[in-house]
Amino acid sequence: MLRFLAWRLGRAALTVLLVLVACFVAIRATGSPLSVLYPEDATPEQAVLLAQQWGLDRSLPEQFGVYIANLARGDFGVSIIERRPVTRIYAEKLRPTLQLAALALVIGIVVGIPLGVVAALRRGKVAARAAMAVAFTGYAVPHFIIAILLILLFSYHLNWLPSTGAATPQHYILPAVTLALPLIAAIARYMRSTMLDVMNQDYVRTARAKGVAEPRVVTLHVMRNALLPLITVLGLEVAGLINGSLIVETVFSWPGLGKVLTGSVSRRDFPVLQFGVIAYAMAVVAINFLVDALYAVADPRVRVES
Amino acid sequence: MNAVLSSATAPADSAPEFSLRRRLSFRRMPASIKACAMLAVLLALVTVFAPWLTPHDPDATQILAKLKPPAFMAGGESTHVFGTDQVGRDLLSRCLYGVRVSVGIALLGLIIGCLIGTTLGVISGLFGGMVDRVIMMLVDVFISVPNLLIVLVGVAAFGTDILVLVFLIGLARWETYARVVRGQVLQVREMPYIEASRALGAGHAWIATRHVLPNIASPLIVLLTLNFPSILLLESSLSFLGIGVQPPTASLGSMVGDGRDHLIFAWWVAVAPALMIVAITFVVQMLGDWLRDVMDVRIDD
Repeated sequence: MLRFLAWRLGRAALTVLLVLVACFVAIRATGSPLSVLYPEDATPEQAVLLAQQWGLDRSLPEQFGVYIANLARGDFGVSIIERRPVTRIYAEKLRPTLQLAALALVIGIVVGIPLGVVAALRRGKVAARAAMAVAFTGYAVPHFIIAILLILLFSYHLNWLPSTGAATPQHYILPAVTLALPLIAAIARYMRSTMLDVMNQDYVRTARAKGVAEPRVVTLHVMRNALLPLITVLGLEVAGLINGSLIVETVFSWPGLGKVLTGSVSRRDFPVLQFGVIAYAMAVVAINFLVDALYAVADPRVRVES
Repeated sequence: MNAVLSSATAPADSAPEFSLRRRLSFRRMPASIKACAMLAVLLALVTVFAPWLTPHDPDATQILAKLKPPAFMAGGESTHVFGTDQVGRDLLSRCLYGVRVSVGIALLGLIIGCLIGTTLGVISGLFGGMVDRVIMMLVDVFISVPNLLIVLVGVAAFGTDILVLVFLIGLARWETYARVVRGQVLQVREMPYIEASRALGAGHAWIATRHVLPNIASPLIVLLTLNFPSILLLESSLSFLGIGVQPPTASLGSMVGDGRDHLIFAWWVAVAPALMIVAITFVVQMLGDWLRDVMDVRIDD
């Protein structure tokens, strides 16, 4: 068990390190990030001075050393455009993003599981087909299109829900549903196929043969065993959730991290972009590590096999 | 007598090679898949022949005819079937060109990802040991990092040149091929004919190209088909955000992005390209799911 977790922890650390290196190399690979800062009439001397100020005149390995040392001290740099620590910029915007993601996750689980169960139990019936149609739509339609269609219908046509900002609880509905739909799809598809697998197991047949009532078979024998691996599926969906939240937050002008991060790309504000990528990557890695740990605790087979 | 005859010929019918070809034949497709296959062919034709199919020049502005609704609505004109956008460009023509750009980028990205992933997967599977471990470690890293982040960093560093975009988009899914191909190679590697070939003095390269690749063709085809929609969606999401394809070139995604500003009064500007995206991903996803079932490929772990 401990060895398994140590192995996973090592892998997580390696992932973060590779992300750090990739960020550093990519961001410094082309041109100076300062080009956006130079005034139109900057003299070469001023440019050199500016580069010295930002430590960009040193060699790449040196810069990398400084960069890692700074990160280790919790100094993630200063936004080139806004001239204040990137950590503060992100700290201000963290809450709305977490709230939205958490809400989407809850909707995804609460709606996705029953859809998948219905699709498995009533295979071939109308209800199952409808459930899988919903799942398929969530799978094949991208976030930004779901967002636009929902805005058209609920904000402009029916006038029920607001489409931009996060001022009131109603503001949460459209972005959260948009973010949740692909999650619902993934969970429903997963639940369906796993339920169908589990229902063919010997112990389910045994339970039925010895006269256990069908609802009890479904909940205690089938669902219990199908739900456990769902933890892993959710861990894998985190990356997708982050992809989605970057887009959904931009579409709905959500006051969260998404806009900061995508905005930093077009403004070439590298410290902001770099911290955003590192923070998101670390979040994914941490969540996946937790998922692995949780799973190892819950399922003894994982511990034994490793 | 008939029954005897048919039962006598049955074994030949069920030989795997033969039946696969039969199951893949157009006549045996379920109706919904037939429709999807025909739509896919239509889309391919549109992609290739867009310049000859468009009723108008996609970039010709006609400011007097701006924001005209689609032909079926009141005020619509039959010359602009999908209506016009904010500067009076014909939306149908723009959509057809947009399909060309989006599908073109997605296909190139698909090929790049497949080449990288397959190469690394074959190497990983054939060599094993340390090489295998390093490559699989890379796969793990790529799976856990959201691919939009990778593309964002790449775009910030290297700009939004179309070639850069194609490469970054291709990079986004390479790990799926690497994983599946490696698994297949590990299976194929143990086959007696590989051993025989090795005994005859064949090298790694020969075995990889002559024996392994033909055997992993069907999972690769399925994977390519299933990855196509997600790559197309990645490109259109990027273009929608304004960090993908740059004007004057328009992909379906950037057209939806442009239309977002006119949603209240002219919903069709965004909805027409959005529906094209949905149609393409839907059709290809259906075909991919069907192919996976027919070819009996398990690709999720």
